Amino acid sequence: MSDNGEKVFIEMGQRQREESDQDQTEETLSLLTFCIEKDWYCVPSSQVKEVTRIPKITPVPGTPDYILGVAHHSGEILSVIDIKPLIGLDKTILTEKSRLLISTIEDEPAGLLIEIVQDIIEITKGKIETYLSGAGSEQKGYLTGRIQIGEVILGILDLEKLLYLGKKS
Amino acid sequence: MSKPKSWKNKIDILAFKAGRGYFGVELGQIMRLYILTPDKVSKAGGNMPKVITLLPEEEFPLVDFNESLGLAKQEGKTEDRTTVIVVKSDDGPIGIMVDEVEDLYSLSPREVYPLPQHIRGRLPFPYIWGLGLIYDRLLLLIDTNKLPKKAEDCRLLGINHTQVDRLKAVDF
Repeated sequence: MSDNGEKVFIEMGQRQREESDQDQTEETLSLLTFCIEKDWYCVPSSQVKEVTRIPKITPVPGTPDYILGVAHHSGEILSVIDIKPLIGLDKTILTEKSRLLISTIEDEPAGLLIEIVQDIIEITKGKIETYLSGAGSEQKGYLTGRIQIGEVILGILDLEKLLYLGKKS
Repeated sequence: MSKPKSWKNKIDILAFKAGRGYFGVELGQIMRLYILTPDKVSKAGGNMPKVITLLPEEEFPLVDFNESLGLAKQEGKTEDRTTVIVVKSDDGPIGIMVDEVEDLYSLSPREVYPLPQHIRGRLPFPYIWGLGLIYDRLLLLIDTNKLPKKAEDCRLLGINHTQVDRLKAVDF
C-alpha cells in the first residue's frame, strides 16, 4: 500500500474514533474496509466469515469470467468470485496482497477476491448515504450505500446481490 | 454411467490436464488411451475440421480439451503429450483430446465434493459431476454423458468448434 494510502487511513481511523465518541448512543455498524484498484469499499463484518490468503484455485471452464473457479479451504469448497468485472473493472491480477473474503451470506461459502484489506471500522448507521437501486453507474448496482470519512468515500458493497447475480445472471 | 450413484470404497480417477484446467475421469469409464504424435494429426483445407488418424474402423465424436474449454493452452509445455482418452457414454464412445495425462488417484468418498451451486447454475452443460481433492488441488470430475458433442454445444462452452467433429478412422 502507498504512503498516501496509509495516511488516508490513519486520518480515517482518527476521524472515525472521534465520531464514534460523539455518537455513542447511535446504532453502529462494523465494516471491513478494503481496496479495489484506487477505490475503497467495505462490507458489514457480520457478513464476513474470514479473510484468507488465496488458496489454489481450479478454473471451471464454461463459467463467466467473474467466476475464477473453485478452491478448497478448511474442509470446504468455495466458489471464487472476482468482484472487479462485476463492477465494470478489468479482471484482478493476483498479487501477494490479494486476499479472499469468505462470505457467510449463503449456505454455501463463497470467496470474493479483494486486493488490499485495510481495517475494521465502526460507524454509526446514520452516516450511511443510501443509493437508490438501479440508479447511476454499473458499480452502484452492487452498492447499498456509501459513507464519507474525512476525504475518503467508501462504497458499501451489497454481498447478497453480488452472490445472487453470481448464481443467476 | 460416469457418475457413481453411490459408493462406499475408493474410486479410481485418471487425472488429466487441459490448458490451465485439471480434470478427472473415472477409470471405469475409460476404454483406451492414444498418445497423439504429429504424424497422426492433419488438417484438411478450407473450413474442414482437423482430422486425426487412429486405428482402423473406429469412429467417434472427438471433444478437444486441448483448447481447454476456453482456457488458454500452456504453450510449449505439454505439446508432446497430447492424448486422446476414449471414454464410454450412453451414446457410445467419445474421444477427449487433452494436453497431458497426469496420474491415477484413488479417492475416498470424503475426498469427493459436489460442485457448488454457484458454479453449477452457471454452466451451460452439467459436464462436471463433482470435485476430487488431491492434496490441496481440486480436479473437475467430468460426466462423460454430459460432454458437448455438437459444435453448438462447444460454442457455449468456449471450445473451438472446428476441433470437434466426427472422428474419422484412417489407417496409419
